[in-house]
Amino acid sequence: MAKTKYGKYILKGARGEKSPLETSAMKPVVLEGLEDWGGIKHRMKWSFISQPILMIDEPHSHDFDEFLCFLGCNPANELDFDAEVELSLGKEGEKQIINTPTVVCIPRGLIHCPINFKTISKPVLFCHISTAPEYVRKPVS
Amino acid sequence: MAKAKYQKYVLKEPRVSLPPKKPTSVPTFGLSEELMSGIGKFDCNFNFVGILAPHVLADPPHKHDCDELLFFISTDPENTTDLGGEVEIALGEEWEKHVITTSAIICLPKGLQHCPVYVRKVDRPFYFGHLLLAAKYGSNANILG
Repeated sequence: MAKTKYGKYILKGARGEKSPLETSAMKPVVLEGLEDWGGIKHRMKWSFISQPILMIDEPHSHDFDEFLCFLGCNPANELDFDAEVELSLGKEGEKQIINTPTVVCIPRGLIHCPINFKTISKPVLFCHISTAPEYVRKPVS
Repeated sequence: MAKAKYQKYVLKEPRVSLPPKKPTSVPTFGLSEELMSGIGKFDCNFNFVGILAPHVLADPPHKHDCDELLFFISTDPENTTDLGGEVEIALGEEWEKHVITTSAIICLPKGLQHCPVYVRKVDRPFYFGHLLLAAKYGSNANILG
């Protein structure tokens, strides 16, 4: 196939490859292609959660803005969501219950987690968006 | 007045009813400046659109003066690689054609022209969306004529 000028900007699903983070509860999607995302700073990745899992236990923050998206797997019905997730926000650990499709906006510096997918009756598409190329956690001091 | 012989051939206001059209896409969730108004300023907006059937997306060829990601997400947890459909997108001012059949992200550095997007085939609904490093979609968009 002839080399294209812009094909380098496309990350495609990697057939037959598993993420080292894959478990029976969580399936991160593996993309292949770009090394540096064309110089773009923001990042996006997603996983499917099909069983309860305590995903991250340690409260932490970041030096960048972050968005956590919780969606169902039925694009024809955006409200088709059947799961319960508990997410702690702030240094007080204020618990938020997520049981509908939700976007959580986490400004830089806001302490968050644990994040616990407590009940999964239907698989959840969990999408993580960050505004920096490197994912670095700052533990709570 | 006597009834005209041939009047029956003249159909006035010939309205026809069309069969109900199934939607080809549905907006689902995302982030906008309006939604964010109560919680602070984030230089980021995105959306997820459910793609249900073949169609051409409304966006004409355009480019932005900030970076953007376009994403395509298979919604089958048992088959996260195959998109469940086929999408064709034009990249660059040459309209270089690229065909997407897997989950994918297209990285669009600022200034890179993109679109139109043709959804050619949908075997199972999937998500498509954009992620733009600007508070509002359009604020940093230069739509080409």
